[in-house]
Amino acid sequence: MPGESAPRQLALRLERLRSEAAGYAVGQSYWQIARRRFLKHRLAMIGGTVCLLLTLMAVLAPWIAPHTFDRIDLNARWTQPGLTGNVFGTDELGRDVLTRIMYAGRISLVVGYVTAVSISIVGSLVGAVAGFYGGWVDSVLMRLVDMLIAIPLLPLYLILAALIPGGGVGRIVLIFTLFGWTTVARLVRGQILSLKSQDFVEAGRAMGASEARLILRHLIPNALAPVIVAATLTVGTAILSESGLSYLGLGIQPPIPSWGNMLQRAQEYLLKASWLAIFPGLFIFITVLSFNFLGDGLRDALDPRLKT
Amino acid sequence: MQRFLARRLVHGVIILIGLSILMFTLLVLTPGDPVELMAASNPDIRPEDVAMLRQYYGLDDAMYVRYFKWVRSVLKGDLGYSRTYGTPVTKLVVDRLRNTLTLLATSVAVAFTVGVTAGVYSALHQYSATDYVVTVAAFAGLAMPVFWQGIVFILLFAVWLPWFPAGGMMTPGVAPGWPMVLDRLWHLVLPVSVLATSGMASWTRYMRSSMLEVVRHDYVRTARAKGNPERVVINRHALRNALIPIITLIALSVPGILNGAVLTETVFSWPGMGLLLFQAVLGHDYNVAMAVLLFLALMTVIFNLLADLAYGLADPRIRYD
Amino acid sequence: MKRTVLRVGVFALSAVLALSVTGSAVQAQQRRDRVTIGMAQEPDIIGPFSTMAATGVIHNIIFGYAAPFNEKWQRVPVMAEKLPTLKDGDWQVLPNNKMRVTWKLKRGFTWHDGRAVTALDWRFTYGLMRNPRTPSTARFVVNKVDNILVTNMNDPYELVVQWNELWPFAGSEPFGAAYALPRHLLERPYLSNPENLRAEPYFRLPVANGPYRMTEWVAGSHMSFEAHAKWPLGAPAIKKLTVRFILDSTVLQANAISGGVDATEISNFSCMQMEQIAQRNPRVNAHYREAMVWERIDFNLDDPWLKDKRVRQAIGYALDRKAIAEVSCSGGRQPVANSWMAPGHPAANPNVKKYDPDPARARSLLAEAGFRPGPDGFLRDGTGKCVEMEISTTAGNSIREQIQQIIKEQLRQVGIDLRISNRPASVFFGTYTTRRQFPHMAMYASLFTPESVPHDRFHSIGIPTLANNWSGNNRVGWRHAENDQIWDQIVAELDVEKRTALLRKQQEIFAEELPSLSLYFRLDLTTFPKAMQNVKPVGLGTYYLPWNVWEWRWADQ
Repeated sequence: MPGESAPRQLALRLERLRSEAAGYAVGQSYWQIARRRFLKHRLAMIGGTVCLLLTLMAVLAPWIAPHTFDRIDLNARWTQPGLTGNVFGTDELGRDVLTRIMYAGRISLVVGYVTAVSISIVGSLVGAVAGFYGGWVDSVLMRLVDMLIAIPLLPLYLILAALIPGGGVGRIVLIFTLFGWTTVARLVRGQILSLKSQDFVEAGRAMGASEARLILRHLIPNALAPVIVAATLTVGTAILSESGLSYLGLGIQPPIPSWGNMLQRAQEYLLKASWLAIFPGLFIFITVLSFNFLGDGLRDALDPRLKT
Repeated sequence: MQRFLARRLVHGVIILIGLSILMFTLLVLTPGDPVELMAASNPDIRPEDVAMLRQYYGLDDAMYVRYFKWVRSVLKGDLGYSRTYGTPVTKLVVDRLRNTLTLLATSVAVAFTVGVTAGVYSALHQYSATDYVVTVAAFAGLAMPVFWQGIVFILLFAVWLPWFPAGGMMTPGVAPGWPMVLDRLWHLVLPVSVLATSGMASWTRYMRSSMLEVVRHDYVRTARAKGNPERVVINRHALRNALIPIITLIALSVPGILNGAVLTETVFSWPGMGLLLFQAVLGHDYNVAMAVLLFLALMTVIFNLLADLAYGLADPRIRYD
Repeated sequence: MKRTVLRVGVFALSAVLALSVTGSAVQAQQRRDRVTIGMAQEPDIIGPFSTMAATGVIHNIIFGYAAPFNEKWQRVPVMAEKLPTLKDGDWQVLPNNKMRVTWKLKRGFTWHDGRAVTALDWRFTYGLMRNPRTPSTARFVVNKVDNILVTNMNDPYELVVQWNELWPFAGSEPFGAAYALPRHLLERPYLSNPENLRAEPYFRLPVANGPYRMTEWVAGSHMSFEAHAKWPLGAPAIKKLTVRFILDSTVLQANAISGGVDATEISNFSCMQMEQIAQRNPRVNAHYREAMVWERIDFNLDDPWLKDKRVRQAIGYALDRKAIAEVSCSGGRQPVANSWMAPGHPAANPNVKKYDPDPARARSLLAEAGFRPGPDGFLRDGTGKCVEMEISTTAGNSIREQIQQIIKEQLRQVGIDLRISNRPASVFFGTYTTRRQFPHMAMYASLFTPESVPHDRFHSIGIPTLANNWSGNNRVGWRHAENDQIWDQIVAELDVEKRTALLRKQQEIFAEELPSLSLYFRLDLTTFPKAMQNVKPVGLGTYYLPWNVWEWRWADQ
């Protein structure tokens, strides 16, 4: 490519090397291929669509909910589900269950999404730092990871839930993030280790790029694919974990509704009003299932080596 | 090999020490100490009593002093007393351990058998209707809240169809011998079917992909080409190789299964370590919580090590350095 | 391959089904000679160092009591010959306000190892509970006792209790302890190491003196008991007793329905769950017993808004407490509380000021107190600040959380914005209420007995402050001269009728001043088989379902 400036040439070369590192021939964008693969994945498409619908339902809850949120009507307690009035029935205070599920969905999905994002950020940073610097930094961070994956997390969550006051979304996300970043950190570190010996990093170094810049601009984007997959799966896991914590009384605290605490509350009325438990349970189930389908499809699409 | 072992052991020790510090700090920082809990549940306790009890339990010492006190007695083989139960922690934990291991071992065995069978079957009949059903069922198994599944099972199989007991580990006073064995098994059915679900689901999926990968390899083709019957090819060649990664997987999923055990034991009132840990954390019974957590960590460390070794034995290509 | 899988599957399924059949058979077989009680709580240890309610149930089964409360809330002597009274002269008031009470013990009671129970055991128990070196948790009454004498060492069946101050209930229990501990088994470890007495194996599997002998404790699962044949009030008809610990109340409910347990106590059931049990298991009697559990909202009287009596009364008028009691337990079973004293107590005053729902009156009281509605419908105080209050309770208590929702809704109607902010029990009872950290309202329950003298809960001397090391239970911070004076009289008034009059007067002041808004009296919920006779729930803390377990029998027995 004569006539191009030297930095521009180098940039092009970097771009090519990056694609090669990801296992693709120059000219065909990695993301284009991934998109095509993904669109062909039937379960993932279904999962993705359901995720989108659920998210829309949650976002639009104030406009599409059939009843006023948390409107108490002591004369309409225990209305059975039916096609008229309260589709999913009413609860012990006469509140409309469908409306509550929509609003609780806002909370549960926010817990899922925010946990996924924060875990990805923390995990990527830790993983990148460990992989990039190596040496004792790596050792210390990886021992920390080993430590955290060596014990079941639920008891740790329990302790933290008792330790951190409040009962809102922020607390739950903080708890999940503090101990949940290890998977992503390992993935990113692995990617970085295999990438860092490759040409384009050397090239970047030669150009005098700062370390921070290298990590942020080159290494992390390259390690993004597995992080996206892990983040997608985390959405489901976080929603499940929140319901588990709620069962033990330490999740999102009422009056803030979440699917987990609705389910926990419904237990007591299981024999009288099973619909109170069936619907939140169903929504957790469908949500987690969809995100897992989506995550699985993304893995197949983004990581060619795992494609079977 | 020896160097590898030594390094892993050192890592294991570092992990355990780090964890003990982390757990101890978190537990001590948790607001509301045991004496305050006691005072809250008993209107007759006066502030003078509280001060005396605090001193009695050494709660006024600095955190690091308490940590080192704890470490010193643990090194002497004394895990201390359970504040709640007034018994030595060692005895308490050993009793519960047996129950948890029964539950865990049965669940893992069931999950492994079903998971491997379903996974292999699914792989050998790829894209068949059964394969699809198995895949979706496996996904479904991973998407259900554990406690929810437990309660639904109790409703279905203990209340509406009174086939199994609604929780508990044994019928008190049952005659020893066969009746007792049957009674224990009878109590195991529901908790095991709940606890095994997620393992079953994930191992089915891993087994399926592992098997699919293996059958494409040369040695399987060679085995077929040599005219071996399909049964022999699958059993002797493919299955064995496909199982190797699953073994590691089982070791790695121990902490996850223990998570499930906390919930399952709570739902089914199974007197195991999970339930004990949950109560200890809520009741600020530090000695018990520390002992159980560290034991779980120790178990995971050991299982990881075993998995590495087993991996090497099963696949001679792997070297340790 | 396919066939193998199928075969294995069929085999496994049939094995599981066969198991279910044999398993049920084992359980059905043992029905008649035993009773199983299910509880949602497991004791920590047995004996006076325990801190849990569940232990009380076990004590009822294995210990003989001096004089338990019966189902009519009257003391009946069991191990004592009679209750000492001032009239009979076995309870004497001495000069300088000391007292001397003589207790005669019945003969024939034995420890489960065969030794006789004597006054020496009672005196030993007193020493152990009074000694500050033991981790005893209840010293309030025992600290009023100077000494205990055994009149005749050769025939030790008479106790003389020397009180160092006046105490109205000196004739109820010898010294605030309901039962005695065996001197012959515990004296040695007590003398050698009182601090570590709690760790004695005795308190895991005690040799006691009650109608049943404890034979095993499988931690996390159950305890087993056998009838004590030498129980002097008649050998118990039911030979074996089991107490099962099922911590999840839904699972406990499932067991009550399926027959996995015959009876339940400390179940954490809601009334709803009770109704379901009665409906689905016709063999079971779901029993709702009036209790002395006072559910209320404490106001923080240091708050500039709540300091004003009119604001507190307005909140009283704003709430429909009948609807609230109904949400907690439907069917009109649960009475609305108008004071802190349960209606079943002889000193309860039915004529105190009542706050029937009247939102208009609430609004006018708030207007009188200087609040004006703002543009958003919520009130503003004199400085223009929006009237937003906070209510807190123990997180995870579903009934209270529902009630908070109703309160929020009803207070909104009169212009008060309520913020709900709950705390885990350890924090709520740890410092939040006991150090008066709640800004406006705290909702919780207090347990009373017919002999409660909640002096430090209502007297201004009981206001917890940093200066008094947070001692006392007057968490609202109530100061009222006349009320204080009445309490000073009540604690030293030995005459029942005079004491009753004082208590009634106090309740009038309480209802007018409204330092706490009473909601309702919680019921004591138990279940037991209809075919079981002589089960008489008492509904008082420390006297549980099996308080008279030796009298229980199956109808066809």
